[in-house]
Amino acid sequence: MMIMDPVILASGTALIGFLCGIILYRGDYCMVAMLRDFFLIRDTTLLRSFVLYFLVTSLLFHVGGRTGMLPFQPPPTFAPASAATLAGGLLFGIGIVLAGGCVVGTLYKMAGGSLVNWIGFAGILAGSLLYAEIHPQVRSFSAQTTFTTSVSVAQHHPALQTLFLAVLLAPCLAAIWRWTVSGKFQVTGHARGYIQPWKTAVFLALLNVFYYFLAGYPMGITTAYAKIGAYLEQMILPDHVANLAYFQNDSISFWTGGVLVSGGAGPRIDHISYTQLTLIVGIFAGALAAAVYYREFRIHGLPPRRQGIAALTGGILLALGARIATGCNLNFLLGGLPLLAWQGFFFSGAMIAGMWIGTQILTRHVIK
Amino acid sequence: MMVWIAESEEDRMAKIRTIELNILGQVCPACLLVVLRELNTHRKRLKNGEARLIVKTDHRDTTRTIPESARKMGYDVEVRNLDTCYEITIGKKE
Repeated sequence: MMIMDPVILASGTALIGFLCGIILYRGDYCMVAMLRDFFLIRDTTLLRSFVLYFLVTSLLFHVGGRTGMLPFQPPPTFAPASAATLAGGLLFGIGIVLAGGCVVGTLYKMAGGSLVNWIGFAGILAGSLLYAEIHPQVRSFSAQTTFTTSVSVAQHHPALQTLFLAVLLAPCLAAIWRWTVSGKFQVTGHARGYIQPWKTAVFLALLNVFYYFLAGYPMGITTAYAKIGAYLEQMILPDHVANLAYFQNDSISFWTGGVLVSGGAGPRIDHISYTQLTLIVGIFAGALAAAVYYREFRIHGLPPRRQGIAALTGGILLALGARIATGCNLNFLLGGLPLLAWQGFFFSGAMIAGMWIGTQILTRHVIK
Repeated sequence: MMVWIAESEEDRMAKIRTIELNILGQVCPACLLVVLRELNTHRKRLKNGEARLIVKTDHRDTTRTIPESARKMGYDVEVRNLDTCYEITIGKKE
């Protein structure tokens, strides 16, 4: 049984977003940098913290499932994996590198006054609206190319889940132990109010568990980007928006305590409004508060033209990718991997390949 | 008779050429990439102390990655908090 009161849901998820915004800004915890900087300079600092994130979240999600605190496993935001998961992940990976931030990183960087990320944000809205035009075709492609019969490892077979957890968590534990002993978790950052990556990872894990408890699914955010886009498009083309299937249908719907909870990208108030839209507002507000507090908020002007074009293109690509795959890195990496959802594994693999391609484009054509 | 004129600290500093980079408002990882490229281009002069690199950036994470990379290459690195941004100075190890 989950809390159904919209006011509690909205204020709870906004508060979680606000706290996320503060710690992400302070730690400059960028999931794009996490992998891109590995490709560029073999820096694994942030990746190490992700291993810790994965361990903590896996354990808490698992305990939450067993105790009934997190009843929806797998959550309603997940589905069997298909070729769309792979294609979307690839596009998403290319897009986030070009835009210089994922759907969350873009928000906290915008709050610092970075215009290049505001351009990326505009791209994300445009890409979401573009997707609405091809939604029926993409979904039928996805339905035809589904290649897992279940949503998660546990759904496939409970015993397989235990095996997966043991195989994945044992090396994680060993690595974390090694890094703790050798002091590799302690890094030197000179930024004002810097938070160590390992601490940021643990905070994020806890906040995602609270969010899951409130919303009924782990953190997701991109459907709300499409919603913002839909509200804007409705002002100009109301008839067109009213005729698009993507804005008419719900992307999540589930029963809890005899009540149907539903939400989608359409321009209306629903479960997405008071769980994801609130997260967007919260993250932006939290990061803005941190930027102002540390006296760092400053608009430094427009980036070089090539970077601006790359950010806009990147934003469009990442939004298309997220919509095609029905989720982003927040949904599939921070939530899907610890839940052992098939989509999490396949999206992550494709996203990493996309990020490698994106890094090549960036270093050869964008930053010269 | 020989007259020794002591070289003042300021005279010595004036001989060091300063290469300034302004990466404010650029996309990540412009700062990291541009600095690595400049370190490569001016390697000789930076290594023997003829020049130093001064970078202005608003990318918070580069106050971690750049000092780490530059120190690994054998440079001295100093990070200063300026008003709303950061200044990273890279030069010869004293």
